[in-house]
Amino acid sequence: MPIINKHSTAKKKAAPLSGTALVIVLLVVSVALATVYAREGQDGPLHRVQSIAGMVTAPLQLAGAGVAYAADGAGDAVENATVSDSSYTALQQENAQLRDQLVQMEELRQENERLTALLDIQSQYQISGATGRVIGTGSDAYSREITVNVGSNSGVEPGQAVVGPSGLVGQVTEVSPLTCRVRLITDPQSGVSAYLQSSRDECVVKGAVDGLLYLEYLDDSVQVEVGDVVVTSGMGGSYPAGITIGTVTNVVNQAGTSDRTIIVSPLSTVSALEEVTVVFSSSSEGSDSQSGSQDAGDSGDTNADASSTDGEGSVDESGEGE
Amino acid sequence: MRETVVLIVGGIAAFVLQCVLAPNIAVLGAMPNFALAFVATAAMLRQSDAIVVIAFVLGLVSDLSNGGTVGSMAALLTLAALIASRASSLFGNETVTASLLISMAASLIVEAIYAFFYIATAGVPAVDALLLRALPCALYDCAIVLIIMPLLSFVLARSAPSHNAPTSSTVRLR
Repeated sequence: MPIINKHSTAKKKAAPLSGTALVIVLLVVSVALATVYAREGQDGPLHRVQSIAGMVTAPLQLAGAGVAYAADGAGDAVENATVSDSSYTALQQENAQLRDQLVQMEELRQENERLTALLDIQSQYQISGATGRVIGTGSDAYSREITVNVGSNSGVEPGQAVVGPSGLVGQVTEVSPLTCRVRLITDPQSGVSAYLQSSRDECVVKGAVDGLLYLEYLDDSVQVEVGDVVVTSGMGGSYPAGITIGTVTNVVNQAGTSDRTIIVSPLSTVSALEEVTVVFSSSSEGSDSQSGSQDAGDSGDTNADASSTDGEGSVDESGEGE
Repeated sequence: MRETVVLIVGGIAAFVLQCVLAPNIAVLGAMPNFALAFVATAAMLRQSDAIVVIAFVLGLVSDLSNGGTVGSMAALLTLAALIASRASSLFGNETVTASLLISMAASLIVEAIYAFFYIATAGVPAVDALLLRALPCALYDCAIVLIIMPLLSFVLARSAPSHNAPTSSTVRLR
């Protein structure tokens, strides 16, 4: 389809390539900025400006989170509006079942409160941290990050782990006074030292460009089955030990070789306006560092025990405390 | 002057859309780069120094807000403005096909360079970065260009000085 653009053609003839020098200057400035950024530390001026810029654009990200929330709601509304008679009947039956379950749940809730009070005594498994809400997701296609509305004013520091309702979410990479940026474990640059809960064999859980989690550096002789739980080992100190990462969902053996691809499904996936907790300290860190140097097997047992009770329970406690 | 104001407002709108809308319309992790689409379109329609400066500033702001290496997107958007401007001068932008090809080339080059930069710094497989990110993102950018181009063309035509022909820079379908 032909189109006419007389004005732009006229401008082209007048000054077709004016600005080449300007382009070169700007490119040089860009490269200089990138070099300074790469060489300076986390406290460098460009990093500081970036933190402040992240905080300034947080309201925009919050608006984006609102859009995502509204889109989900609109999807549900359309689904509800187009429901068929048979589905409606099924939903009524399901509703009746849910009412029964609600009564049972209330009983269980009261029981849970009593048990939680007992568990509070076990203070060695407590995770202390700051709970915040996800106010934005990364607008860059190459990274998987979220922005949380707690920052250095709440005591958040770069490198701290972040957990969701069910397990590990990611790690704080950048902090401003009111917000922090969290790199998700599914980010290709993310790698978490972990072990299989069933066999205690150590491995690394890595993110990938396709958004999946891959379990790597696991010995070929180790048996892995779908459903195996993967938890953080605490090795390297980046993440506290004993936090649940996810479960093995697929094991693909390569024909003719001992190579295999193991895919892990994260237990905790956060979306906009949900809460996460930035972990300041956990008892498992202490136990891991103490026992890690003595006996890896023993430390694994200790950490696994800690994670099974501590990973979720104390996070909820932190949330309530906040 | 009015054109420059229009371009600045367009740049701000592109940045806001990138923050608010882009993460919510991602398809399999690939999301459009509104800033890139805007810069490529504006550079095709108007060859001026203002476009280059706006591209640089827009890239710098994106770097600062996204947490990426400061200067990387600034350089790439400046490069995109140059590529789109030169290609438009050489091959013309009189047809939708030509404009689409130019914007696709600019998007592909920029996304590919960004992917290579990412491969070098993040250590991800090149095939994954190029096939799962650079290519779909470039195609997404082209789709956004198709939306932006008639809008921007219309707005620029309205903001053109009165001594020009009223339909001077309006993209018209015959």
